[in-house]
Amino acid sequence: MENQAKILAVAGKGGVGKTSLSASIVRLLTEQYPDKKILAIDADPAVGLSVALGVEVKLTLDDIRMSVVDSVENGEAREALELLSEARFRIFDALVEMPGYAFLAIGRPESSGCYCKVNSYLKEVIGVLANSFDYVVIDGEAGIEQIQRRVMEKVTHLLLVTDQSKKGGQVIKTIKDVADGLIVYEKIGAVINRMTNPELADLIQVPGVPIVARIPADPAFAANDIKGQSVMQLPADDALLMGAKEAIANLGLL
Amino acid sequence: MELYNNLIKETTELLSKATPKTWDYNPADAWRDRGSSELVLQSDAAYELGAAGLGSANYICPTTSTALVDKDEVLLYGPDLRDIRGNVPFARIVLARVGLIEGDDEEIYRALKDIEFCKYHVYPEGYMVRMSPESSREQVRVSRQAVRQGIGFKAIGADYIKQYKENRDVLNVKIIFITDPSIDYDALKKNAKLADGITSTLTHILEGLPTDCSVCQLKDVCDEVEGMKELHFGKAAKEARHD
Repeated sequence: MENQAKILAVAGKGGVGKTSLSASIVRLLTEQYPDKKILAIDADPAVGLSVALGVEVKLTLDDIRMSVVDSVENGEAREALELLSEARFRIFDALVEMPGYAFLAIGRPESSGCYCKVNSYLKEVIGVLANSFDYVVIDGEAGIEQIQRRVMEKVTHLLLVTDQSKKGGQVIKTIKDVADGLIVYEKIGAVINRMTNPELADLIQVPGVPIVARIPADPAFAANDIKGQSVMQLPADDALLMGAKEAIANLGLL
Repeated sequence: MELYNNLIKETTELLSKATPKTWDYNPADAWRDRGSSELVLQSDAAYELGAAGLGSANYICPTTSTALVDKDEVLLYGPDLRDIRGNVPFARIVLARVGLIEGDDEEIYRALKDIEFCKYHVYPEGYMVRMSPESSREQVRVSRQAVRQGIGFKAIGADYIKQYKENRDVLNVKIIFITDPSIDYDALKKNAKLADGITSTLTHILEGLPTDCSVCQLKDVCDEVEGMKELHFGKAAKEARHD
């Protein structure tokens, strides 16, 4: 009885609104599917999704990775299946259960620089957990590293986010090119977010990536953000929420 | 396979003060199994067996003795799943009668691990198991829906036995579930560590531990487990002959 989880990864360059869009999608899915099991993964070491959703994080994936590494270093060697069982045992301590969804944060490794270890651990975790949930929303880190490292290899839906800048468009083109070689996703789409010049929206075109939503710059969301309120507190007709709804509907998730 | 026999006897002795409910194994009794994974969120759980802060242990003892394991059977000490109202301590112990496992020491070790790992392939619906090999704990979230549907250890035990018996080396399985709060879970946990230690020591034997017991870090396990030293020194003697 293999569960066919819908795994949506949100990727793009930094500062284009990936996290707020991811949070909006989590909210929309929980509202649309109250009986489904939904998991939000904050895969960005900047740890913004928890804030956007109003989740208090006490334990992260990196904390667990480090504790498993410590136990192996200090004790008996274990077989792969046992290490996976140990990880699964502890992951549930890091899983924050919120109304309608569960939340997991990747965390920030204490050593500076390389995130490869926690990224490869994240890949395993996605493999372990994905089939237990109906929907998984992953707020990825900026850029292409997690795609390159195949962290996202189980992703079924890829949502690329850009602003109206030329650079943002180039980044999603690069992500698409890399993903095509490494991920067997079912659907891909792009969101042009924080549009300040709607009349120029057509200038952003990425071959093979349909634009699934165009979302105008959203003063209501900005005000919400300044007040430190979560996406859960936005009014239902907020532009960001409407745009997120259009995006996931066009990806076949609503 | 006598290495775990004393542990089986100690387990039996530990549980002797209580009287279990018992059910003979019938594969048709097995609870629905999801086959690959099961998730029960806290919000959907009726309670948790062996929850954090409560006693929890799991271990397996293989044996070739028909006197110790004579048939397939499910035993329960304490209240059954449908009668539990809140979190309770929990232990799951498997006594597996195995046939003569042929092969060299490495193959025997692998065969024992494969039997032990059967537990990772059981996913009863509404019964989410989390196992920590590091702490020998086993925690189970039982869903409210499964309780409403009449889930019980007879059916869960049958699901486990079915999985163990898919291993060709396993002849009979007694699976013991314990939810009785009066049982000494610390002692069960100690047993779990010892069972784990016996198997781990087999690995170390394969890796060529020192033959001087006074400097060996696993001396305690060998002292406690009948047959372990013989196995080790037999291996060492065999290697010396080959040298």
